[in-house]
Amino acid sequence: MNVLRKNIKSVRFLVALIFLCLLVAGYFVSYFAGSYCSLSIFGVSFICPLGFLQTVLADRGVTLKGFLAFLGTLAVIAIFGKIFCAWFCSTVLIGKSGADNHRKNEPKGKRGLGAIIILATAAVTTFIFSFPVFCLICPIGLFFGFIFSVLHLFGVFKLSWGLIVFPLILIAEFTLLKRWCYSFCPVGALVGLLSRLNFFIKPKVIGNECQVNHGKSCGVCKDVCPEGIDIKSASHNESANCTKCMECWAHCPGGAIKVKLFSKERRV
Amino acid sequence: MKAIGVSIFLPTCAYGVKYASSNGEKAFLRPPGALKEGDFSKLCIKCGRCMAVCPEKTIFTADFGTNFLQTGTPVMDFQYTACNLCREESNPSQKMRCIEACPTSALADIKREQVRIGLAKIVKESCIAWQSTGCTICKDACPEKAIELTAKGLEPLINEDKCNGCGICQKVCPTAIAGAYKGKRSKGVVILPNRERV
Repeated sequence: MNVLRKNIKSVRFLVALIFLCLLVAGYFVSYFAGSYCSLSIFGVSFICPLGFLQTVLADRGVTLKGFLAFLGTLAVIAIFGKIFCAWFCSTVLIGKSGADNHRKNEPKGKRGLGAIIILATAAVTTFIFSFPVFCLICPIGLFFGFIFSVLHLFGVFKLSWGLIVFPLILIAEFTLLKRWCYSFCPVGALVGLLSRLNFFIKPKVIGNECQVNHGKSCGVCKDVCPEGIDIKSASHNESANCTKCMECWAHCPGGAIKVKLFSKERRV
Repeated sequence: MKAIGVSIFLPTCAYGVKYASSNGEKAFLRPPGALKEGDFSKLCIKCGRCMAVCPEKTIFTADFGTNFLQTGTPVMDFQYTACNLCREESNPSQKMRCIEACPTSALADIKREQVRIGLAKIVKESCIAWQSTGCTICKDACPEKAIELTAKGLEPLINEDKCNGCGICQKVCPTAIAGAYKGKRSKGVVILPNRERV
């Protein structure tokens, strides 16, 4: 456990890497095929919720296959919440995920409206222009565009501009828009909203061991939380943004945080 | 503040892309079942599942040079590989995998007979049979029997009703190999996109 605690960042990276490898292997054996925009695992289909929302808005109609895939995604979100953000997203692989970049020295506060504003803009723009607009600049899609370019290079020796341009756009996004996940990412914002359906796997403070209850001042769990959640007092809707990154669990000096499979709503 | 910046950037970008691409409206070689260009771009989220499941690896991402709106969308390229419509002798009920995989039905569920990826065109300047003599490789390879020979000189011609644009003729055409020493890369038969696909 202590090894996990100390290396939680590397563990997350490893999980993300293993999934990426499975997806890359899926390019050749296709039991596990696609990208995080949409993938199938042994025939069960999942789709990016923002991608689905955009196709609905662009097409002004719902396709059955898309809806079924979206139900698959909803089921995953209902069980695991926003786990994608800290454990699978391409930002984890390029070391830019929110969980990897604590906001220790930055002003804290509730999650701002930035990402929600971008989500709304993406939705409205998609509706007006009738094509999935955010997909053009989505870091997850761009990352997989790059992966596919590499696969085409080694699979059939086909060179493409994607090898250079996709990484360039990614670099531009992450240098211009720091703290992308927390402040800008509309995918995360949408998953966060949907995660209000999620009641499982939430970190909880076990009262007796928490240092605050022994008269010491402590706020480490809140400081290290990439979403700025104060788990001691967060409401259900606030804690919906929890990405299960386990930073609070890893950093709690008293070891007072447990992540339980199912726990009742905390009443303050 | 930056969020508002992005919010202004997104529609501007969308507007620019939409109008930059509407001028040079270009047809693409889309995978089987692809909807008409306008409907296709509404539904395609560039997830790459059709590319991943394609057993022949004929589907690629459209490159930046073609059209920014279409960057990352699937296009077919028959220079080295071709589409066999997922016909399998061991499993005749196998559907076309790209159509099965598409999560948003941008590739509509159609029968094999309805597939019209594009249309083959003989490039007479490159074709060995038209230029010199005696090559029937594309005719022998065509699964639709859509390539016929002229009665007189045995040069290939395309039967446009039968051709479904699967690209096998372009894949097997030996002109690029035969002309490699002269620096030729063009094939004697190429698939061109047709706009009135299903």
